[in-house]
Amino acid sequence: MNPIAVIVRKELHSYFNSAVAYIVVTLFLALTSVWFFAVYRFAARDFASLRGYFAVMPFLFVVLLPAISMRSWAEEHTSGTAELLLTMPFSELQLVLGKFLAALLLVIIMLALTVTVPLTVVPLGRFETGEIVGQYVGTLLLACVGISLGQFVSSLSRNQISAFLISALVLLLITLLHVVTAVAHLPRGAAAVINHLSLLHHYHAFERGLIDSRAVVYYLLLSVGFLYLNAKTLLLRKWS
Amino acid sequence: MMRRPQHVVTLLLTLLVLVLTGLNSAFYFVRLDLTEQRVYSLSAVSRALVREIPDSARITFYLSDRLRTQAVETEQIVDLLYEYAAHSRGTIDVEVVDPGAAGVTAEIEQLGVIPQQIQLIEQDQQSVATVYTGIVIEYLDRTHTLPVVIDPRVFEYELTIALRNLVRDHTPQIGILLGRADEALEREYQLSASRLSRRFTLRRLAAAEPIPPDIDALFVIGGRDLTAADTALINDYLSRGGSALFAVDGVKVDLETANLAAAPAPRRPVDGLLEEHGVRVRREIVLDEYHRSIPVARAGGAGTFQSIEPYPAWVSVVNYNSDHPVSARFTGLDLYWPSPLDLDPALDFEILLQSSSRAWLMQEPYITSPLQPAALQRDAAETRGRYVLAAAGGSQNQDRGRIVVVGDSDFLSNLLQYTNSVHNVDFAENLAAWLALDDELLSLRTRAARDVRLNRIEDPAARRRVVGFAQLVNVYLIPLAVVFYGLVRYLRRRSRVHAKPRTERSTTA
Repeated sequence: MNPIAVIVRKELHSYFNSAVAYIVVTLFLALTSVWFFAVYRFAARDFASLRGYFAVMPFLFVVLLPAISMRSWAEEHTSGTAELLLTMPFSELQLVLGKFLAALLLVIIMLALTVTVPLTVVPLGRFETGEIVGQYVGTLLLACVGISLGQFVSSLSRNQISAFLISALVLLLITLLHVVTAVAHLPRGAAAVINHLSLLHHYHAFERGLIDSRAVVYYLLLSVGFLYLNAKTLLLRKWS
Repeated sequence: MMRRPQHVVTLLLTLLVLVLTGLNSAFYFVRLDLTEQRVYSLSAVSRALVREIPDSARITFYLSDRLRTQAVETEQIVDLLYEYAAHSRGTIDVEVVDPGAAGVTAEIEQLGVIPQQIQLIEQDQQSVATVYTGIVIEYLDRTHTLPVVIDPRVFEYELTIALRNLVRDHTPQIGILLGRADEALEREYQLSASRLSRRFTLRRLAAAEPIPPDIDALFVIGGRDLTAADTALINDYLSRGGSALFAVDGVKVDLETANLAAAPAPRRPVDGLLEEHGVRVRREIVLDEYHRSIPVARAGGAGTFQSIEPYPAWVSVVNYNSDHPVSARFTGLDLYWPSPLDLDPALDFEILLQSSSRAWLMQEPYITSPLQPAALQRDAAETRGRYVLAAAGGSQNQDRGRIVVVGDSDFLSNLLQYTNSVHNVDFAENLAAWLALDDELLSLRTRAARDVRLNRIEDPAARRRVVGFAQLVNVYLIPLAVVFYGLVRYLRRRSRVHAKPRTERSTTA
């Protein structure tokens, strides 16, 4: 079996054998739906779009993705299994990718369970299929960033709680970075750079059914960058 | 195997590559619009314009939250605004402001944003609210205001034109020569003039005044009082490469008479001018089975009452030349007692508009009273056929001396308010753009509007049931199903764990 597939399988078992996966998935599904139907009041808005539904996801991800990824390395360090894992015939990159893909699969399952939302509201109006596809693509890419960041932070921490708090804080900062340009009058170039670094700024395009290469590249670069740093951190830890 | 310093160098180089890729992607990008009607795809003209803006422009959309929740079309306008910002690479800054919450209502009214009254029904209470939906564009020390924006279909057209005029600091000028000396642009052409002046500077020209060389196009509307000297000045303007619209009819209908008495227009100098250019306006009226209705005062028992009667002499044009830039984005045109045009086949004229094949002519003596519907059909049997109603001269690629002739001098007059024919002004805008050689403006298409309301289910009870079902499934059933699956899995694992020691015990025994 492919080494990455072995790790993915082991990690997925680990997720579903603990309460964390169920708590995260249930909270995600319940909160997004309560927000959409009760707080955002989708039916009263008379607007055939799921933008309101997807708009809340980046904010929930700030808490839920670190909750998924906090244990990936911090727990291995606490329980002492990290050293064992690093001596196994897997490269650092395979270990990192395996853990990342397992967490991503969990998010994909979580998002797959939201498909009932478009399916049940579609009879009400003429929804744009392309827009919904864009919203799912954007959410998935955003999840890639959140998970890879969370796992990188987890690899630096020995404690799950600190990994969770630091990941959530960093994710919140890069999600809402563009707010700075709204409150402070910055030079055009500086404002453009800050907006470009904000995750939510790029997410708005996906919300509308637009796939912007800048957003895709930025999300992928961040994900690849954090995964790469994660692998290098493991290597450094091995040496130390 | 790599040494530690080599790893550090590799790490730094990799991060550098990632940063450079990110920077590169910010400058060279594509946007894929997944919506069915490409509602977020700006036209090439708009994209090119926003890229060429040399300095920062600020677009503020003053949109009341109360209107935003009532008129969901405004969301599409907001989306399009963000598209302008996205394509501008940072030169266009977009902001959406609720004027009430920001406390700027007085300031924006001074800038030209017009307050609107809407009826609201909130918690079973009906009320009237004042709302705003206007845009203020700031560029250098210049400001332009779009007083009311509500229709996403024409929004790109309006904003791009406004931005372009502001950035280039030039608004195309249309010279207007009214062929009837007793008419005023602000009185007889109130709606058309106000709509056209949003995109063009309208300049009323007096008869006998030489046509100024700086106007971009000339509109000659009617020809009754134009003298030979006037037409010589127009001819001179045309020979210098000027472009003109002639809205001229062959039959004069007297709106002051009860039965709308009609008479052939006497031969005028403008007829001679048009014939020189290959167009003859016939002294007949085109009537069509595609037509509008007319309000008519009828004498009743207790006095007079008004009724709306079908009126074939008010022709609704359905046949248009979709290959010509002027009529390619045709949205409709209503003509009032139009005259058919004869075109000289030897000259370079293209038909823009025609009647339907079910049209017919009214010849002298004319009967035009809407109270005599049978008499309006008098010449139908002999004259049924298709008739030319508008034509354009000067080839599409020619960059000088374009001419358009429409066989009706009333299509821009206040009559259009009786038939609610705002599309007549859209047609005039296209004409003006083509005559002014503004092909950029013509290429801006009318945007398709998507029905964004939740209106597929009309029955309120059925609608409530669907919403209730969606809530039940998504808020309760799916999360509970996850919890249930987790519990089942937990219990199965526990029973396996408990079963294991028992098995081990029995084996030991």
